[in-house]
Amino acid sequence: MLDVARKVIPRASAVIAVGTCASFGGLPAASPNPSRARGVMDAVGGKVINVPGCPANSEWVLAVVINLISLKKPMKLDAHRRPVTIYGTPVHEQCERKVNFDADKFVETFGNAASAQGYCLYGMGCKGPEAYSTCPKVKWNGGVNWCVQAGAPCMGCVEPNFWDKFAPFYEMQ
Amino acid sequence: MARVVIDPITRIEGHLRIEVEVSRGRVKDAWSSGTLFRGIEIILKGRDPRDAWLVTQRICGVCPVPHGLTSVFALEDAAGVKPPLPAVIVRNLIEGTQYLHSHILWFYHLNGLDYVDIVSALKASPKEKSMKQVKEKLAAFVKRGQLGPFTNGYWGHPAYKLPPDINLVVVAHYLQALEMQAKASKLTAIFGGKMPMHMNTPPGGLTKPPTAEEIKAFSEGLKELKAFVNNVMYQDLLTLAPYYLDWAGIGKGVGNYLSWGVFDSAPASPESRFLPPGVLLKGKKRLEKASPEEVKEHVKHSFYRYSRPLNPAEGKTEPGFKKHDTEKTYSWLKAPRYDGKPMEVGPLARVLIAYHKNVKPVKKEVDALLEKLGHKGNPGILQSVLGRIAARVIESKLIVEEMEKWVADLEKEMKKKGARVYTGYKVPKKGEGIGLWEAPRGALGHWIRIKNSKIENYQCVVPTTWNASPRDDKHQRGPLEEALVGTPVHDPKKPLEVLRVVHSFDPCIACAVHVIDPRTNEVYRIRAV
Ligand code: SF4
Ligand code: SF4
Repeated sequence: MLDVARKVIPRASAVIAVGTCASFGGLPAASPNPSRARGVMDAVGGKVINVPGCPANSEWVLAVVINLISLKKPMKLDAHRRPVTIYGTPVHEQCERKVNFDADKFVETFGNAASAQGYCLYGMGCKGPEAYSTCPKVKWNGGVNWCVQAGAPCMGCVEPNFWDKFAPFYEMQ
Repeated sequence: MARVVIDPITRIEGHLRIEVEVSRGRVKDAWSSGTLFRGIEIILKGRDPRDAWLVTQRICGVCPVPHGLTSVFALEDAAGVKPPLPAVIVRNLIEGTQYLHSHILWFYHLNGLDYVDIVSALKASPKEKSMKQVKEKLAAFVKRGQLGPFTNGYWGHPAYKLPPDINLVVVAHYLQALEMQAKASKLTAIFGGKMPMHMNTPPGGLTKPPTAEEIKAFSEGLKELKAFVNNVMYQDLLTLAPYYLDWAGIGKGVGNYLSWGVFDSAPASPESRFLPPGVLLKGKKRLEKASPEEVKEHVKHSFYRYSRPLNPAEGKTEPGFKKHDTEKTYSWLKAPRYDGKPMEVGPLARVLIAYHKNVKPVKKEVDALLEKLGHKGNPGILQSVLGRIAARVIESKLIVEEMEKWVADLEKEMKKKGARVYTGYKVPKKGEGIGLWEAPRGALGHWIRIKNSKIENYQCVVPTTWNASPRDDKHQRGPLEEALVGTPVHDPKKPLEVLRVVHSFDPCIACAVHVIDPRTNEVYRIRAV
């Protein structure tokens, strides 16, 4: 696999790493990384555009591909080589539960009325303030839903090393 | 004698290598190798147990839901926690959507092209406008030399039996099925937040109660899937089967079946599951109780440091790669055995076990199908490649029917005063737990041991490890290897028949990263098909 990547990547007109594993190593690279896994940019280098997410949202992937094909302009990337149009703002800033964060209304246990009324999930372990993506706006599976809307804390799945950096994810008692 | 190596087998999840010895037009011997290793069980060690169900979903992007739920069951077992009934129902519903997604994907996109000849479809002379359009689309594909998903096929192989018109109809359904898959995932996301990798089923229950609007949206979407399963997929099975009835006599395999049971009717009571647990052994009429103590994993022929066969509760994952050698070690899969026997798992196992347990709707469906195929009262023919195909379709039909009832149950439960969906979950300081459940591809077990509130050991025994396992300490073949023996092969350079047997198990080898250099002294080496 690595051999193929080394051969193909230098000659490719664009390289898109789809998902957190391809971008940053993801779960296989989580401690103790028994298979010595790495993301494409670390394993091979080159002008990689990272589209992390576990999984990568198909709308993000499409947006990047369309951008490359039709606009032919280089996309502006952040320090982790992610397009800033997708990964430029924290989930928290766009979250529909932010009003409740600001009003100090927090979910204290899963499954109660507050969890359905849209109270903030910060106390349950939400990583929205540290995760950068458009999840609350674009949502998933064609705009059906997203993590926080389903009452689940964001686990920061678009961030490098998130398995080790953000664990534990759900802080329930 | 010719050795045929297919590496990788495509139209499956992950990396599988099949090697067969062909003599006088039949497979004489077979070896199945998982050629990738990822070490998720090693990564789980030392982590917070509450994260296990999120980690294990990532074992497989095709069936994350059952991995997540099985892990949740192991965690609940370790802590002695039972989720409330509405949580049980919602979990059934997302598991059900996963089954529909997986079976539709398999029937059309992974397995279908072994029976449907794309190039022959171009010779069809359709009358309806919609079919003409499909033909034009296909012709345009071929003209551009970009067959896309249809690039690799043994088009024109004599084992393809369908007339052009039927080939074209199934191609049309192939395209429609792509949409249906996405619809099934949308339904998972209604409760789960997203699919793959749902977010709403922590140990203890659900993150939040389902709303009336969510239940309604789910129920609407389900109707569409039901119509597709009953009016398209089931009808396609009835259309295809008569042309391929000889496949009811091919690929029987070990004849031992195991299911842990799936779809709960009450919290933590596996015996009352809609598709019940059980063990069916070759030559025995009586169904036996399925007990996890009987499971032992052998590693004599696998790339792990040798140990005696171990129960997963004390199981180890200590990689020790040696040279690929079918006489010695040749797979990254361990070889799980039940009471020392290789067991087939999957829809066929579940359907046969439910049939033997007289689960009414299952019995009714199976008997009706046997009659339609002209084999009334002869469920024995299901122990075959055709039987595995039929079992996946029948199961989809049964599940979609039950799901409608579960939606109604959920509505009723949520209207009750004080309805609860979560009981709380505290990680025990010390404990052991087992989660036993069924992924679409078969029996799935997770074993967890907790010490000092951290994961001390975690072992997963997944469906394809059962089915595609290598030989064990007693040199018995795994179920897929056994099923391959005797398969007719018209042309060793185009082993379509071998693929049919392999695909009938719907293998899923999602345990990746170290790619191994395969041996090179084979007669025929065949890549992606
Ligand atoms: S739920 Fe998470 S992302 Fe939303 S406001 Fe609260 S902390 Fe921020
Ligand atoms: S909301 Fe958070 S956990 Fe969910 S997909 Fe987005 S970044 Fe990942």
